[in-house]
Amino acid sequence: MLLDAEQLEDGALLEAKVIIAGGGMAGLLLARQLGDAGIDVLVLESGGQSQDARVQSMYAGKMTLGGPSNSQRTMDGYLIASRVRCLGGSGNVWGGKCAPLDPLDFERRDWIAHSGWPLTRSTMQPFYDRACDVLELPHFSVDAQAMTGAPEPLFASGPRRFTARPRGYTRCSGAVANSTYQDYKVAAANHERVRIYLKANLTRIEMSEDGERVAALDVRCLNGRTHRARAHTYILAMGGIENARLLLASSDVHRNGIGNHSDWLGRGFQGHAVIEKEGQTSVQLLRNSAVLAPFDVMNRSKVHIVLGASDDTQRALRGVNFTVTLPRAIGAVTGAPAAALAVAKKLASASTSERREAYFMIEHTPNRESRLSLIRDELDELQMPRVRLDMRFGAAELDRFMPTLAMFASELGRCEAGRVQWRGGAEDLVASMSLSRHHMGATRMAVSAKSGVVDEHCRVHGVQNLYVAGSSVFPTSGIANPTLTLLALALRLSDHLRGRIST
Amino acid sequence: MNKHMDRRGLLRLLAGLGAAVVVDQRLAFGASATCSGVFGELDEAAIAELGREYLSQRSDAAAVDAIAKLLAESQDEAKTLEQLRARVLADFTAGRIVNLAGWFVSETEGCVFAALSRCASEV
Ligand SMILES: Cc1cc2nc3c(=O)[nH]c(=O)nc-3n(C[C@H](O)[C@H](O)[C@H](O)COP(=O)(O)OP(=O)(O)OC[C@H]3O[C@@H](n4cnc5c(N)ncnc54)[C@H](O)[C@@H]3O)c2cc1C
Repeated sequence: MLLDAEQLEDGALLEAKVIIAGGGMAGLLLARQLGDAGIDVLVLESGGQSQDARVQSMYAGKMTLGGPSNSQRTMDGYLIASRVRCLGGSGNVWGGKCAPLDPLDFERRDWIAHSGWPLTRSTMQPFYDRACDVLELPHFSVDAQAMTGAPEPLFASGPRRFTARPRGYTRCSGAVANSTYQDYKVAAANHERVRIYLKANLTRIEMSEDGERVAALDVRCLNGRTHRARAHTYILAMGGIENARLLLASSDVHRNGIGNHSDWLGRGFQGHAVIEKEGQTSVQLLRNSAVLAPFDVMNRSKVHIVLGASDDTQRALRGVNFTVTLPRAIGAVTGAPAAALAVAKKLASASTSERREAYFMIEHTPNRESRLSLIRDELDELQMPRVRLDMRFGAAELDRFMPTLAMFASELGRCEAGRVQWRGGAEDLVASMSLSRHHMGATRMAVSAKSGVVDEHCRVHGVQNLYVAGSSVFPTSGIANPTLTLLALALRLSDHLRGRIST
Repeated sequence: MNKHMDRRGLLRLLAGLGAAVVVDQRLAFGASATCSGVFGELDEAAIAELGREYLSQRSDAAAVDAIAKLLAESQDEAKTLEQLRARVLADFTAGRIVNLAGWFVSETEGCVFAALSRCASEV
């Protein structure tokens, strides 16, 4: 049922077994799942049914992007442009590109500080499969060939330094043709056990005096009305930035914010970045178009592949995850590069060749200096401190970009598959980055409160009845678009809660 | 512009090597294979640019000399190409690469450009 919190009498008390703050992809899936288990669920959603500039402006803040030896960029607009504050959240606009994290992404890698999930890819596999069912995607097996039907087409011989990684597109996005996203929203909104309050902003989490339980939530509306909300169990599903913002801002019992036992709350923020220079990042492939077809991203109905550094490569280079995407054919080069490529083609006895646009992605490793914080003296319309995001890439990944790219170039050459175009060094990587709208890590998952904010069941450490859903719980983020993983975690969380909440 | 490295160019290439013995041998072979024969038609200015860039990054001219010699002494295009190919593959396998004009190529390819450009610049 869809309800309007602005129409409630001022000071209303909203009650349910479970309250979910945030009606985006995570919150709505959880609501549906818990509702299916016979649990009464109430969703507090800040926005209305469509985007509204006044509501969206509560996402404004300050942001910088930087890294060692790189010039810092100011990107305040990113905080508003990279998410949507209304029912359905960013699901209304997302690209729908899906991929699971790789098995190594979950592992602790002794050369990467703060790496490792309390979960493994095999633990996650059944939840990935169920998330794929929700999104009407084929299941992602660990074996790319089994999924795409295409063997890795470039590095057929020798050590497998780069391997194929499948990516798929779902129709479950408000932004695509024949979208099924409206059905996704309706499935939650029409659920007999689910009430969704629109225009209901969570502004404070009230803790019990001992700090071990959430006692209630403060809810504010832009028409000035304030309400209270009370439940057995609370779930924050307000997106990768707002989850941390609310925990930081609710500081009356836990002075540094809820779940901030080890000063990790807001820290370890990660965002995927595409590294590309216009007209200057490409790959000349000494193969024909038919062989290269599995790389095409233009056909959304087909799973495509990108090339990723294998586990062995990452281990050998003490490197990080790295992918190359070859989306489409582009025009041939001229001048000196044309001569160089003619020689390469002759040497490989290649009768055909194709230049492909390329972009590179390098894993953003967890870095304590990459963080969200509150600007205490700048408040939004609901008197919430605005957010400040200092997104920092570290030497851990920036210094490994060139060796990994060089290995990729060497592999292409060794297999007579092509040559790679790239000019520049580690010091201009930040300038070459376009950021994805993926917000990960600010409420990271860890077995112990000493190294994270939530436990392996997404429960806030030290708080018995507060959970977090969404990509903010990712301790590391690989290079996979996050939504499939956050939905898989939401399904896992709903299973966990079903057994614990009486109907 | 002469896009082919002809007999004159080849002689200059050999002269550039400063190896009289090689010149003698080469003359004896009658210069039946030219570098242009090995790689098809290549834009001399482009090759010169690549060669210069390679030499600006690598100070050791011995490797370039060796490739120049290989090219100069070539009597059998296919065989020369196969020899170069083996070197290129060995380079890539060992990660011996260099970035020229924004592209990663093998050291051997860099040497090929440098060797060809010596000749091109003197023709
Ligand atoms: C343009 C774009 C393209 C993208 N493309 C991809 C892609 O191809 N693949 C991919 O995996 N991901 C993509 N993403 C990211 C993807 O959209 C998100 O990962 C996903 O939608 C997050 O879902 P969520 O429910 O966790 O958070 P959100 O979608 O952010 O939902 C949070 C909800 O909480 C509400 N809310 C916020 N604050 C409050 C509050 N104080 N009180 C109550 N409610 C509140 C919001 O209104 C919103 O409805 C893209 C994002 C954008 C913007």
